[in-house]
Amino acid sequence: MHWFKRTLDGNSSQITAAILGAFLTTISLTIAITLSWPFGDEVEQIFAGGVFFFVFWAALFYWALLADGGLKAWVRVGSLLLAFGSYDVLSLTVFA
Amino acid sequence: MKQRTHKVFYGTHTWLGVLAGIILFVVTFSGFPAMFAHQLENWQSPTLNQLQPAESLDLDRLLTAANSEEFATDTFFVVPEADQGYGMVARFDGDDPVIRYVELENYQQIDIGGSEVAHIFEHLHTDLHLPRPFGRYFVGLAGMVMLLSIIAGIVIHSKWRKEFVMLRPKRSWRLLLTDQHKLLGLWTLPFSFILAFTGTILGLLGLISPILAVAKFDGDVAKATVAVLGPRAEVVGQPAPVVSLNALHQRALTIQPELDVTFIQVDGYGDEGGVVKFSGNHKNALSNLQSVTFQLKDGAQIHQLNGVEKGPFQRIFAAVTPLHYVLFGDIALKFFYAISTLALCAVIVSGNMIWLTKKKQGQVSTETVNPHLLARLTLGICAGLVFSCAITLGASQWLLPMNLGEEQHHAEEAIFWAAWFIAVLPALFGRDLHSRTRGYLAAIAVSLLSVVVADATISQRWIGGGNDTVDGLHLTLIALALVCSYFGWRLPKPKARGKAAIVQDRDNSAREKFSASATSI
Repeated sequence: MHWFKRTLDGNSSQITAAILGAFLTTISLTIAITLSWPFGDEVEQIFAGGVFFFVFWAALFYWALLADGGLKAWVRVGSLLLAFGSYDVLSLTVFA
Repeated sequence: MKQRTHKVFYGTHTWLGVLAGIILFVVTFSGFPAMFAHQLENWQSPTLNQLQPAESLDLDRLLTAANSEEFATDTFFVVPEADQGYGMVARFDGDDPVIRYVELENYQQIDIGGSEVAHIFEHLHTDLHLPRPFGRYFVGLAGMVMLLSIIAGIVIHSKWRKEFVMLRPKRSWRLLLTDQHKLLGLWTLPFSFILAFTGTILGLLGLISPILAVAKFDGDVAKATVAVLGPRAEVVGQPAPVVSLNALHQRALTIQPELDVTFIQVDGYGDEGGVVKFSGNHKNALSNLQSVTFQLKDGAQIHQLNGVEKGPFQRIFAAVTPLHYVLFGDIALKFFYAISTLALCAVIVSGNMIWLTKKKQGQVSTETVNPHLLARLTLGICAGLVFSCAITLGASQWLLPMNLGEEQHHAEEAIFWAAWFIAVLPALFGRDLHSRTRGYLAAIAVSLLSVVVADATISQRWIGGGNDTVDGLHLTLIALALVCSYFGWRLPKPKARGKAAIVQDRDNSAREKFSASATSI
């Protein structure tokens, strides 16, 4: 357990959170924006999510890197992933 | 700013550069010829290059001259280049693409030779000659790395007012590199940010399309594509009459008067379900999402895309390609982009050099130290690419008398890769990279001038011959050769480093660290 916690808190873990964790969170955020954008037609809504995809990714990347250790980086991107992911799943299933 | 924040951004900026700098150089530098692909395409074929602009365009005659009936109901494309005096009709489906060129003065097919040098450079820039679509994604990721690096660079360089104009050529080599890196980085910042942002979207859009389709089109990417770009033909196998393309072309221009038609896609010609799409750029706005689609059997309009009149996000997306490939403004703007591209290449290389110089600090003599692998790879791959591009450009002319036809394309590709591979080798061996760098710069200058010689000898084209494309290319090559010769001549020779120099370096380093800490606090 101690080994696991130390690995999760390490540099490699933080970099993984910044690249992969931030990428997955960006995907869920992009879907959330596309689903909830109130203006324009369907094409406008998918571009609303897609055009600034990379800006969100870059912001989350640095937010994870600026955390104090890998664990906190995962908490940061993980909490957003959970929030946006839940919103996406509910929107695409329950409220579809 | 907190010291730790500064450290994180500084570290990220450094490591992104060290790990991805060479790939970034390849993608950025190949953007230079790719930006002029249209001009190079015209130059590479002396036949195309000597045509006069056409006063009118008859699309129906163009199709007849190109024997487009052989394509049956397959999708084919028409590229009308009236200002260059020719039209191209091509079918890319299947293993054996068919491309036919027709002179618009007499509507006769012409043989333009087999050179594809413009496409070799363009392909290198868009997907590094890797299999599609992975190459494009890879280049998109490189754009993302550049974007991250630019953001970190902005954050860590807080004294930008001073750095905008600071260049101390008479101080140490390291300071010169650092000043140059910051100065060029700041001056090219808006340009590099636009290129990185638009390049990332162009490269990674295919990767995120399925994600976006999940949200609005039940994961159906084809349905999403139709919603954005319009419908394609549904060939039913029943012959139908075809409305004249000239008439449809005129109608497209009536519907969208600002449409500059650069591409016509014909789908299911002569079939009941056949369609034709006229697409291109907006004449007065940054948008290449402009198209009008008609049914071929009765000329009914079935779709229209006008990026300028859409919502803000589609409007931004419509501007991405024109911004990235400079599909606006005049040739002077293209040259500004081109100079900024070269400056960005210098920023990338100097970033690696700064890291290597810092790493070398404290070592007693440069003569006895084996150069770092990154130094060898940066020199070999980056200088080798420039050399190889120049050699391939020259080869496109030297090969013309051999009349290789379509085989010339393969010969050019082989020359490009072989020249690059061979050019990397000198940097991988030996200890004196300084003399190697001079050698590379001299070889690049000679190879650039050899293109001008090849063009004059083989195609009898020279500056002042009344051809703007030739004039522009020759002057650019001569200017680049002069720049390389100048840097080769002025390259400072590294001195044997005694104790005093090491102490001086440490002093400078400590001062820089103190200054960075003071700024961040």
